[in-house]
Amino acid sequence: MNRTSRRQRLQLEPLVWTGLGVVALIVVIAGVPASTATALQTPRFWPTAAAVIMLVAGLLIASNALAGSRRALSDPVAAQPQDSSGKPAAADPEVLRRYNHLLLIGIIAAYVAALPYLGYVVATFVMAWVLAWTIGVRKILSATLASITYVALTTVIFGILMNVPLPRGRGPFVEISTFFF
Amino acid sequence: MSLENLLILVLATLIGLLGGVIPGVSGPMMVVVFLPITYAFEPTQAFILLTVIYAASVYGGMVTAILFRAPGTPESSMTVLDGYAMAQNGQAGRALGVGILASGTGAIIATLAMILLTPPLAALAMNFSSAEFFAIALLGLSIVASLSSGQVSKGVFGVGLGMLLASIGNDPMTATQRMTFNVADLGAGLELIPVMIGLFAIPEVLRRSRLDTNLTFNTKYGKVEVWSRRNLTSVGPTVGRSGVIGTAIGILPGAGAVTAAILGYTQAVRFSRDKSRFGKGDPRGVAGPESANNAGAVGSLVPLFALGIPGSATTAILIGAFILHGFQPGPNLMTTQSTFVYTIFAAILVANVLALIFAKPLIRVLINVLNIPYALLGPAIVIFCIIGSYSLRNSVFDVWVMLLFGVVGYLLMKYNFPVGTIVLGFVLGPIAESNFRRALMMSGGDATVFLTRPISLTIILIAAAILVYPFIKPLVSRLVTPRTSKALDA
Repeated sequence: MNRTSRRQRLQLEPLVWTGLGVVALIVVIAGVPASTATALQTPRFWPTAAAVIMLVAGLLIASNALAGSRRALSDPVAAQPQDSSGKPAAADPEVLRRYNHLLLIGIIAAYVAALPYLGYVVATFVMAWVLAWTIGVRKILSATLASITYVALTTVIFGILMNVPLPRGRGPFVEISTFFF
Repeated sequence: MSLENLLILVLATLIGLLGGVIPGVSGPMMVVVFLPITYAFEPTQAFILLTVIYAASVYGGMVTAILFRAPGTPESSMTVLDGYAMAQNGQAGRALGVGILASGTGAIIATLAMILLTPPLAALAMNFSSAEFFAIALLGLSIVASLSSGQVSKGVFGVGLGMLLASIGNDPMTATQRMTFNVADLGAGLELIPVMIGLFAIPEVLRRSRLDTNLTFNTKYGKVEVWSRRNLTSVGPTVGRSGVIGTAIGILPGAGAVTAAILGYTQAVRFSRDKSRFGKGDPRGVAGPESANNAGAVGSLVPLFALGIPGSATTAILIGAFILHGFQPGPNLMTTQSTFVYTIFAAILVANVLALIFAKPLIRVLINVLNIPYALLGPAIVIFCIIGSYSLRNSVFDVWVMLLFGVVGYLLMKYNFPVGTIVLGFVLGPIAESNFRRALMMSGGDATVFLTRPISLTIILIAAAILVYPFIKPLVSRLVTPRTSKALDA
């Protein structure tokens, strides 16, 4: 990321917190019905208080950032990228796989969507294998053995010993699941 | 203690030490990941597992701090200063030995203090009514500053967010649906466990997945020296002093084990005649913070058991675990479930004695775990997170919640957001709300009830002072510094 875009992101960040505070307040007003009870005892009072805390904190973060940027104008050393707390922004560590986190989120989301259909055993084995490969295992045998171990261990602990009704899937996958637990 | 409980205790000690040893697997993460396993346990066994994992994880954190300059837990950050320097001077084995001695002794001092102090503190709190319990919850929420790593505004935002998230679902007094927007799965509200797993465990896996996950450590460290005369004479007084300081700091709500470690180190320097050796490999620089951080971790359990307020992010998670198992931590627990509480106290004491005796041979085994690349550990953590979220209510919706909060947690981590504060708000928010509304109901809607009762007023004033101090601290410093400079100039 170049310096300009990073600075833009850091300048926008304080506004995000204030914006979230406003959104929280709107959600509370829209999502909690008004009541005839005394103001402090209504179901809306406590969530409103929480949203107001968020809004006030958001405004404080924004004002701190504004004060920081004013200091930066008068002090060239302070003009280095900073986060909203006024501390120097942390440098990115040595990132080898730039978009791996997005891949991981996609894999887990696909797994959760497929879980009711494929059942726990099949879906988890596939996910564990793909995850291991995505995170960095480059040996097919290692990824396969690790996936089998994880599925076996969790099926025994949760499915058999703790009687958790793990999803069995639909259609032919029910038969596969029944074979294991 | 039954054989079953003893086995769980030994297992928990091993798990905690293991969690502490592996950088990136923190104490809160271990407690969160293992919490779902306790659903099927008896409450006593569940809390032996969770509290001992917590205590032992702080213990294990020093290993990588000393050997690789990578603190396994935040509490071990100060141990790096002299521990790693000792390792560089070829004294890694001695540094580990001093660490074991100090950690175990500090934790034992704190456990004994906990056994002595919790009952009278809880007895005092027995006279409290809803107004006082609201004030105590407020005091708990005010520890936000210490969980915010210097970013108090963000911490306060996090507390507000946690309180808001906890209000989703049925209103506890009127059963009115709050912020459910006709989503049936939100009717019962958001469950704490998927939220916590999402915030603590998933972001770390996402972060690490972008780095080199096949890195392993060079794990040579030589002979570990624990009970030698040299160790006992050189670090004995430091260990005792830092243990007492760490306990006192841990008992203060919000001060936590990290603060205890810092004070443990500074006190070790202050009481030393030759201060020049610190930072270059002085064993007292390992003993001070290690004794204090372990004492602080155990000490933070005192306000948890006696008053029901957390002293740290991990104890906030433990409060969630208590509620999950049908217990309300606080003074009533000491009277109604005293056997349960004392069994946990005994378990922590035994775990620390065990760790003190067996840590030396265990270190050899634990360090071998560092040879397992994260590429293999990552999927295992994700699977445990998923199944832990699912098995709470056998609901795929909870797994979606976990993933959503995992993404939120990752984004928050990118902005150095103190996520522990969200958990604090989520856990203490409902306790504060129910006591607030109950107190108002009992006083006929008179809001001055919180200020007319002396104990409630005192606690509220303390909470306000704790909360406001970080904001006015720069102002106070500006007012004091010129005077001090003038005095020095004169």
